Amino acid sequence: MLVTPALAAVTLGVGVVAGLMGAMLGIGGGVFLVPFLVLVAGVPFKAAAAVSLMAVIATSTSVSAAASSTGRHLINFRLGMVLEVATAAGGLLGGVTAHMLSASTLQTLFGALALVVGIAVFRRAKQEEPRTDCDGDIGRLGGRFIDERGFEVCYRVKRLPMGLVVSFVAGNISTLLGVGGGIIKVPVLTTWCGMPMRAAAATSAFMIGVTATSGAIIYYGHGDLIPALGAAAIIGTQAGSIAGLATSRRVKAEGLRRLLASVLVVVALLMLQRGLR
Amino acid sequence: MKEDLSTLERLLARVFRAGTMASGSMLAVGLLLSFLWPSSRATAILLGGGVIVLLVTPVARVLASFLDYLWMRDWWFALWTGIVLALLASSFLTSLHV
Repeated sequence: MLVTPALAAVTLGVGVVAGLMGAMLGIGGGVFLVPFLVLVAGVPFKAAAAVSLMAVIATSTSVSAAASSTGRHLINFRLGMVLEVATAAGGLLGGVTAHMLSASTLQTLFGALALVVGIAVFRRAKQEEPRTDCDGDIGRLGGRFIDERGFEVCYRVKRLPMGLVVSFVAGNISTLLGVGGGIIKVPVLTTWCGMPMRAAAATSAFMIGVTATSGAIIYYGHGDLIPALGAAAIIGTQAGSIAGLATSRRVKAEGLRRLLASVLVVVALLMLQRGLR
Repeated sequence: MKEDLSTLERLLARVFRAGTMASGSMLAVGLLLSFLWPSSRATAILLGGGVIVLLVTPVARVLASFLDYLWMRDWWFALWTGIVLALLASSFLTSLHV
């Protein structure tokens, strides 16, 4: 497929939006890139998924590079590495699921799940950020970080099995739909697992790189990636991530949750429309 | 525990920064060259190299964490990161055989 300067420029622009959302909300942006590449640019699905997964890795590395350099300890490395086991196993077993469910069934299920989670996030958007006394026990997987006002925030992780199941499902859909899975992980981590929004977003951004790598290696090995198109998307997401991190500091956690819920509902409707077509 | 995490955080920040800067610059130059000389060897090397550097970055990060946990004798987290490494290796082997 010939990648013209115009197609590269538009893909780069969509990459900037994907990176911006990725840095603010902890999602990889694959949910924006795949529909654009398939429906607007006419790229075959496998090539679109390959480009999207590479862009997800780019968002993850850029956001993690910045987040781990600030000294605010936003990324919960221990929790991220535990959930990564479930997510990488889900990604590897994506091929098995592909034989059991058609793409349209998977999109419908993903859309329905995203809609339910989106509504739940909307309803709880105004809730106080979860936190624990920093002198108390935060548990083996709990975390502490410095918030945007310079105060230390501590939290305990609750309902770990739920986080593991969701991470497995996110890894599973990642390979099949060409997305990072952060769109499902972040709301579950904030709404049910007791993580504050910024820590959940940074930890999800840290994890989705590994989630996407499982699938991206397979697509790349099969020759599905169009290098020039991938380059445009990656450069765009890297630039967008830097802008997103700068913007994120000025937005309140409640605002980020509302934005996340809105993105979830839009993605859910998009997936349901494609799945039920 | 806080000191150990800070050491790991610094190590991973270096891995992420190196991966982002190397892949970003190779891909940016490769993309520009692809419009001027689409079939040139330099274009293919830069685009392919940038993609591979980006693909290797998360794997390098998991490997660095695994080695760091081994060094700290934190066997529990060394086991978790070791499993992730094994799963990523399985993906690589799957891409060769499927």
